[in-house]
Amino acid sequence: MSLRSVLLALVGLLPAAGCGFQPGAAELAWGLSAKSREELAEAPQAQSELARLLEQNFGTPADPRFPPAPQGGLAELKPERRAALERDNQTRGLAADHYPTPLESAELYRVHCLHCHGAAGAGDGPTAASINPKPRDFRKGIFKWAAVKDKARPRREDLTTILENGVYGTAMHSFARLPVAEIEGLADHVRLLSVRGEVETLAVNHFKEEDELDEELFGEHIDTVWSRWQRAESKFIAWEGEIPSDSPAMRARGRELYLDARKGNCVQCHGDAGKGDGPAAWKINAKGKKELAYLDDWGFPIQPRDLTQGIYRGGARPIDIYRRIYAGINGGPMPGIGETKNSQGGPLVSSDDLWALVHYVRSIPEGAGP
Amino acid sequence: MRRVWALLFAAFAALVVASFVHAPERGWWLPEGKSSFAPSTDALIRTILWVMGAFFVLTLGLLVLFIWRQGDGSNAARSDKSSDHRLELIWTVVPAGVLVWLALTQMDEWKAMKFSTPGAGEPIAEVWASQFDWRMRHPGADGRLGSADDWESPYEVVVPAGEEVRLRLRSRDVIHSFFVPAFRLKQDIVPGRAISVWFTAEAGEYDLVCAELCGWGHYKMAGRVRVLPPEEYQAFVQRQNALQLSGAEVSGR
Repeated sequence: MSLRSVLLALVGLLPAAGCGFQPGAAELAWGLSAKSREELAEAPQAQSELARLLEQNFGTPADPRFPPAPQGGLAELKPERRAALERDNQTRGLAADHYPTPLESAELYRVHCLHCHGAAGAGDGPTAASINPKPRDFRKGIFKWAAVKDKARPRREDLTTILENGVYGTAMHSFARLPVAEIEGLADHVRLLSVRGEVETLAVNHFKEEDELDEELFGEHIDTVWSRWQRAESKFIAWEGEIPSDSPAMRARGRELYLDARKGNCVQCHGDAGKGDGPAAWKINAKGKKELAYLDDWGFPIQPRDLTQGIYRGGARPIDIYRRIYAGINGGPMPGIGETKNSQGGPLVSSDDLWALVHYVRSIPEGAGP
Repeated sequence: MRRVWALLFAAFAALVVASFVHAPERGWWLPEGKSSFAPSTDALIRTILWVMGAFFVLTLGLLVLFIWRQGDGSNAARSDKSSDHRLELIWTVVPAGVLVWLALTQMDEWKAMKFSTPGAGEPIAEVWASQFDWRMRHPGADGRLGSADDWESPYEVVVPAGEEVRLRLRSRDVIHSFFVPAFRLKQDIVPGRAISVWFTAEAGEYDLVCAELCGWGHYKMAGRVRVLPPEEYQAFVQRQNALQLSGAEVSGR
């Protein structure tokens, strides 16, 4: 055997070796967040205790656990969704109530989500550096595109809707290709990471204030965070019946509210033409350069949506825009005006006026296309 | 050693031919054709495959033969002729003739796909490609695209079966390509341009994939074309038009 044939044989073997490369969930780790480690830098014992409690309650990527719903979310599905799941399972030749185990959901997350959102849901996967806007960091429990008010946690449907529809205008594309059961399993896992992250933050903050951290207290933290998630359903912004229809008069009324400094006041950030160039959204920094005035809850500069584009991250239906205007956008500076009161204690903006605003906003890109 | 090489090349040729023979039953081939273009496109693909296959077997066969007989580099059996004008003429003119013949035979097919797009007015939907997503805009109740009652559907475009369907392709960022393998239909989508495609398809659900490398997520830029019988399609569109103006929660599942 000459050297050349040995080399050739080695090159020939490369693809075989490469094809077998499968990083398993077992090689991933959650650990403590960088922020927790920084906050607890002086208390190495608390660090290791926190890591132990997190692992004891939420497991590891290879053995994920979710104390509030150890078997996953199958029992939480509403009847219609349950029916959709069963139909979908049957078309795939699976048992009607087929549902991924927590470990299978973690595996799905590893395959589809991890490369952007990171193993622990910190939005720090390997692809994250190359995308803008950044992938969501789930650990705050804040989700922008949810049909809920009062900065509530998202409902289960809000998570699955985002998975199925994607977030248009970002790198988060639709995962409608996946079976219903897998979408639900992914929602379970995202919730696990989110609750885990919130509990971690709560435990760190509590330790810094009270110097306490033990199993019982940790259990209480989980209950506290989980009760936030359970309130979501009661915070749903519903709209029953007909939506007041679009008309030139409605749009004109919407335009008035858009400009009205005491009511919509949208113009302040979104600008007169809706291009996201309003005066309040921008400032002149110390170097005399124009920069964005607001940061979002994750610390990134945030730009008001350019409404002329017709690209709506949280959905393009009128009801989606209605909910944005009603409740604002959690995690950013966009305020909601749906429940703001006027000086007499009545609603500042009637629901008809809200719809006028919706119709006006949706008419801005008309003809322009997204 | 030369016989080893000759056998190696012969084995390679046999492997290639065998893989084509077994491709359909192993699912290595295109999915079953489901559009009006499929029969003629498949006939064209088969013709080209046979022509190429014949030349492949011929050239590989000659290669194997020559290696087997003279692969050791000896000059013993070589002719001292430096060129053969007649032979060169044959191997130039015959393939050139085949290429011209292929170019002419596919003209009707090309004309039907690219220059016979039916109808005027609004397409059934606008297909917006972006990194790495398909999003469809439907004209809504007023039948006009670009108005406020348009509705969007992520991932999936729904069209009627057995009718001429026209879609308008748009890109938000880079070049993508609209490829529905079951329809044998592929069209690049160029930013800044509105390019139409058309087809007549059988009812069913078909994969839509991006066929132009468009960035890191190209591999997962998948969508679906759902073709419904006409009555079901009408009912679907009416339901979507109504849902657009309601507060009801919608999931396409």
